[in-house]
Amino acid sequence: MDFTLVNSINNWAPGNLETATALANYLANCYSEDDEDFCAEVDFVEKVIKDSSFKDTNTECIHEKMKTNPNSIYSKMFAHFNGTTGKFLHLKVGNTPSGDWGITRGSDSNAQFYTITTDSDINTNGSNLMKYVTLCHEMIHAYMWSSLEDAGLLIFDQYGIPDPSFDCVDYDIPNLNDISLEDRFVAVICAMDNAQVESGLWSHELFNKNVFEIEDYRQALENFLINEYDWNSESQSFRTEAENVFGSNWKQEVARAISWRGLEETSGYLPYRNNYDGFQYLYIVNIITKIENGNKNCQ
Amino acid sequence: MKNLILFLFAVFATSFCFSQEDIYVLIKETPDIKHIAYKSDTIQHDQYYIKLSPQKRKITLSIINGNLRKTSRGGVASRTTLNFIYQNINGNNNPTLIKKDSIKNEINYEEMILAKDYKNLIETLRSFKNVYLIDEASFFDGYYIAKKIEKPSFLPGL
Repeated sequence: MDFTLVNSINNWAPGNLETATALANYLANCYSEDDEDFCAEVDFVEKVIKDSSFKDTNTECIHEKMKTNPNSIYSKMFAHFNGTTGKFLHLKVGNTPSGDWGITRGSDSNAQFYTITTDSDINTNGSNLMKYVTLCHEMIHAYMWSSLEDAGLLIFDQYGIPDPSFDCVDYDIPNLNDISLEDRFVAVICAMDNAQVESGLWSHELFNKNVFEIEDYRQALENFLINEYDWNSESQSFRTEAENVFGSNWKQEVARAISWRGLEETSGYLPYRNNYDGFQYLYIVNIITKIENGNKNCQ
Repeated sequence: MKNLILFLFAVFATSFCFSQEDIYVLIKETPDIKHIAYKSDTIQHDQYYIKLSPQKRKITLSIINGNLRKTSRGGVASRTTLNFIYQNINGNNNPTLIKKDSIKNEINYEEMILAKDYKNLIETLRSFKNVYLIDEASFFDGYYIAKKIEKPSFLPGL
């Protein structure tokens, strides 16, 4: 144990020696080599661990833009991981499983460490909109899992993959209006379990469950894109095409289509897109291609 | 003799140049292939989510009060899914009939699942000029209905 490091980290979480020790151990495990190319920067102001792969990248540039408004949902979720309560965010750029734009993993440590990895190809070649939806979607995963972990409902395996910690056998679904938010999560996950919802989908299905008072995670992402994304940074042809398809409400419709990215296999997706017809339908089902060709310049 | 050599060269060149012209992907109904169809007067749009790494639910066994209890649940590990899109607007990409015996390059769903490297699978499919999707159920009288799909891609996970 590097006590100098622990003492330094302790300034982050004053008086919380347990948290400081957990962070020191985490860093020592992740970065065992004494190599400048294989290291991380712990930002004690922003209170986030930035991997060297993340520093000075297009993804970091977008991350900074997304935090511009301190009242945005992204900023609020980011602030949730300020370390003082034993929650840490670790940002990386690297390889992800085939084709994935980003992944989030937890940790089986006592303290809460969440790693968000943006795919290297998305970092290098992806548009700003692709990075926006990737970072915000993954931040929602981290925030959602942290809330579930706080409530004692989630555990992580050695690879950082979450699994509900409770048993759904013989679970009777209660009246959702009569129970706490934590119990609602249990009820929803058990309902999916009882219905034999496809393995691995529960976390994405939760995107469509109300948690932020009256809006769900996906709606929060849609609103974030509408309000915080610089739509004027997109090309005239991008904006004209969207306006021709959706009319004056095009920003909301495009933001909505983007917010469903990654949720295509959830139960809410097809009802959403089946509400549209003709060229609006085509635009929505081709949203990946539309945003792949968007602005890639982050300044 | 010169003409014969030229003819043979032309045949060789043609077969070489067009060897990567067309590939046919054969699928059949299975829970791991989701087909979403849309049709209007002018638009036919078919989307196929083809799961390459079916994740089986794991069962945890326990004994509660002398009774066997089976709990099954899965994690959230990424699943590799292909996203194939067929689009026909105002008849610009009508389905075609292809004689089964004339198909030179083909791969079926079971073979795609077995691919050692799915990125290599995508790159191989993309190396063909035209990728056609065939539902094996369309077979009739020696012919399949083939639909030319857009550039094969993964359904990128998040």
